[in-house]
Amino acid sequence: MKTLQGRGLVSGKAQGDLVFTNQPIAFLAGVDPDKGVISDPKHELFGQVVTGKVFAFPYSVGSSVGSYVIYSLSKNHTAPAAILNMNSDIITVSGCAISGIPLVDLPDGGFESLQGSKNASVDASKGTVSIV
Amino acid sequence: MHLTQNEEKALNGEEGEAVATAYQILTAIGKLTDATRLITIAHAHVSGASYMTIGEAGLQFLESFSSTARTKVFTTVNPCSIDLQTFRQYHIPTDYVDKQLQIVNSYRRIGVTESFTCTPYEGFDLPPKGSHISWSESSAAIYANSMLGLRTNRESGLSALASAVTGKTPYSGLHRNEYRRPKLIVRVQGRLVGTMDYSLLGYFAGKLTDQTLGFSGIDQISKEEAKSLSAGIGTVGASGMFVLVKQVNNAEVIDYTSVERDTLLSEFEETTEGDTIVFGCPQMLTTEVKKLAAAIGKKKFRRRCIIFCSRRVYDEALARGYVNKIKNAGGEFLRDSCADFTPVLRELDTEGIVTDTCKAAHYIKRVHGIKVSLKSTEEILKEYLQ
Repeated sequence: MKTLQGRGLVSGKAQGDLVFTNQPIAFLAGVDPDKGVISDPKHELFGQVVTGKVFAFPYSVGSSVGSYVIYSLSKNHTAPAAILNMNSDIITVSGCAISGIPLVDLPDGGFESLQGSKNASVDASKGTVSIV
Repeated sequence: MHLTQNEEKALNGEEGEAVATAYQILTAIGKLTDATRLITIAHAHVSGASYMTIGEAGLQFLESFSSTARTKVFTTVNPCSIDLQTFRQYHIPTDYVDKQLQIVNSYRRIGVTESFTCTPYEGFDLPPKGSHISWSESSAAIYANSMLGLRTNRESGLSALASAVTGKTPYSGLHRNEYRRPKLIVRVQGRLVGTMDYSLLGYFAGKLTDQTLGFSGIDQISKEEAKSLSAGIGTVGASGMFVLVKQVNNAEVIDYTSVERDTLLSEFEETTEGDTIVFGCPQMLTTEVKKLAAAIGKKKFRRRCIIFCSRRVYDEALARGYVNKIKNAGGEFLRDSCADFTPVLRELDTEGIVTDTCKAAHYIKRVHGIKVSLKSTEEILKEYLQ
């Protein structure tokens, strides 16, 4: 087990299987809010379910409406259990803030070391991520 | 981030639940961006008015938010998904229309100006250069920073709404000079011709950095070109600003030549003739409607042609005679709505769509599963006018 120290941006605790990508995520027209699945055919995670997972991606790109897609995921019970970013962004932060999805970013390194881990537990009030 | 006593009280619910939510969003962003305080803004522009994008969850959120929250600053709003005057002429399910109108009414209650445009930089009085604003709609935010000397981060629909009802935004990112200088320069080699070329450049450059972009090799840029460039960057990237530079100095440099352009264009290649033409993503500016009217001359469209523009631009173009000229040639206008997220496209039963920007091609393909062919405006007019 290894513990990484980041910044807790939206507090909360969660644990789950880790879904990791080095490619940014576009939430609008890139994540299906009904199914909780990556729906952009050009993304390496195409078809991957994020519901209930600890979802790690560097930052989000694309439409400013992406924040509403995060909120929809939460209301539809298809949201990730927590989100981990390398450098988080306004779309992800505002979406998580109104949805209560724990969010930690790791701007001082450590994001890449998440790759290959199976499971992560997140304590966003302390900004820590423990990986197995 | 330091909050004043009043801001602290509002965060704790003294001005109602909606304003408290708004301050929660702003403080979370303050933490993200290491802001030390909130600053007053002169204009907010909110996205998230289309039922097709924000769905049932967004509708419910706005319904509840609008029961108490009111704008504290001049606020414009992005397109919804239907033309609020002509939607009855289209086969849009009543249930859908009702949901869309509920969203529109929530924004009315909050007190936004009924702009329904993704180009709020045309047709409205803008604050002076250097003013702090809070704009969502990525293409408009990039345009405001890069072309108008206004200062905004690339806000989300929710964060711009939070700014609209508090009149504030965290003092960070592109509000500050140090973030407005490019660290990466795209060296454009060869001449860019027409707005589609700028759209492709944006689609290429947007993927390179989430920081301010520099472009060398472009001496000057028109409003229309900058709109397409901004939309290209916004569609695939997170950068909130571009600057035209003369020298590359010490910045990281990436070349953009005809090779990169052609490779990217080939990614959009679809085997479709296209039986519907879509213009206006982002919505057409008055100058573009004027050019279109002039290009038509005495010809007519061989295919259905739908043109998206704001109601302001439409009214102005109507007064100047452009609208009737285009309508006589078979063109059809949709106001208040977005070319990418409208049920009108869903109801088309089309073989394929021909359009002239990467943003439209990117979203129409993904949202509607319709084949899209990307061509320059000039090519489309040459091929489909007779």
